[in-house]
Amino acid sequence: MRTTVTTDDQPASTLEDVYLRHASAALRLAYFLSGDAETARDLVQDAFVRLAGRFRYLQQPDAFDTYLRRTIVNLHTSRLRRLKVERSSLVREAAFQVDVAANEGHEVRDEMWQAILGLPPRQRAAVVLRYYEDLSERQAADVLRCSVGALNQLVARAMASLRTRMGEEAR
Amino acid sequence: MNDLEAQIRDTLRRHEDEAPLFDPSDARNSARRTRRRQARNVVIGAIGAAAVIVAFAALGGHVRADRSPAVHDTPSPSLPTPGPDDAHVSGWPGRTRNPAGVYSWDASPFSEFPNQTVGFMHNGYRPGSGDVNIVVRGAPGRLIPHRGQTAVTVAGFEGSYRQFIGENSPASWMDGLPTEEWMVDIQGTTVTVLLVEEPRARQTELAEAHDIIQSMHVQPQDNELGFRLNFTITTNTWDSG
Repeated sequence: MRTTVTTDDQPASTLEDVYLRHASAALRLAYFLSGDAETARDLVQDAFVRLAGRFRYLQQPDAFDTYLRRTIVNLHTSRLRRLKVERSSLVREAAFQVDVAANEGHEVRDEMWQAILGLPPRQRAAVVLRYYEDLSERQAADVLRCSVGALNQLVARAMASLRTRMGEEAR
Repeated sequence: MNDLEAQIRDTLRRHEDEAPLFDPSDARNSARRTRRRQARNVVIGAIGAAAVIVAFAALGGHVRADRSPAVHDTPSPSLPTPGPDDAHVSGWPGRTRNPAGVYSWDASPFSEFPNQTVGFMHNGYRPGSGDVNIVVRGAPGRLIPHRGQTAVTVAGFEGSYRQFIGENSPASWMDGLPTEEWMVDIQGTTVTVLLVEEPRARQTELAEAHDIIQSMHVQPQDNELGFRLNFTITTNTWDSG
């Protein structure tokens, strides 16, 4: 059955309601993924534009936040790809620098924050979804559209990178 | 929860105030902006689709007669070249929804991304968004060694093909993703075409991506390459955003 997005069993929500309900959390997620406030705003706006046209076709309207998270993660990954695809074709090892460049101007307050921003996009997304959004393994895997096993692999690799990075910083 | 997990959680919570705030009083304006952009996308898509329909109608039976069957259940590494359909060729697909039609890559920078010459697109308007990605790259006048072992025909030229799993490095967005690669030397330039498969990509999506690559053919042009690589997209679900 296909229905429109509902809020608390009320009739179909307006787009305005959906903004009120989801925009703040969406902006925080987008910020943690991108590390940049302006990019976060763009990602969220793009995500709403994409989803606004699909409200009535969403198979599980109650899972709107999952659709929104998934769209933000996909848009962010695509954005990095565009940058990385270009850089990697010109300078083979330069892709990682794109990540760094994307975060230039951002005030880095601590090593862990910097380390999180340095993670590859899907690993970073997995960490944010699990440890900031407090999603279950299944929920986070749904957002990333992968199996629970693959999610755990992403998290494990992220944790290993962070552990190594923090160990190096401590030396 | 271990120390590292707690440290990650604390770090993220400490930085959440730096995230941009959403002003509830701006909800109405945000919704309006979203609807405007959505409407603009629909109009642009409709105009593009109408243009393509008119173009195809004008070409009529000629196009149908020249086309070879394109759908394959099992993707083949060989890329036979269909008859050229170069009357109405667009550049690389844009960031938002693009109508079905003939598009091209010619190693020139993209208007939306002036620093880019590498074509990237995915089927972002399929449910689930972006399960298969196509990348086309090559530097004019630059030949590089082929990595594939299998001989194939790409866009009408002899080339090579391989399948691999995206390298396991933090620098690579293809990390762990199944990838197909076609390489071909065309008029002194090595052109590389990549098809990168996301988890849960369906066979129909892969088949559509293969059809796009299979449709690639060369059209002589007065540009740095001396040609452009044209290809046909048959749905309006692809974008470079």
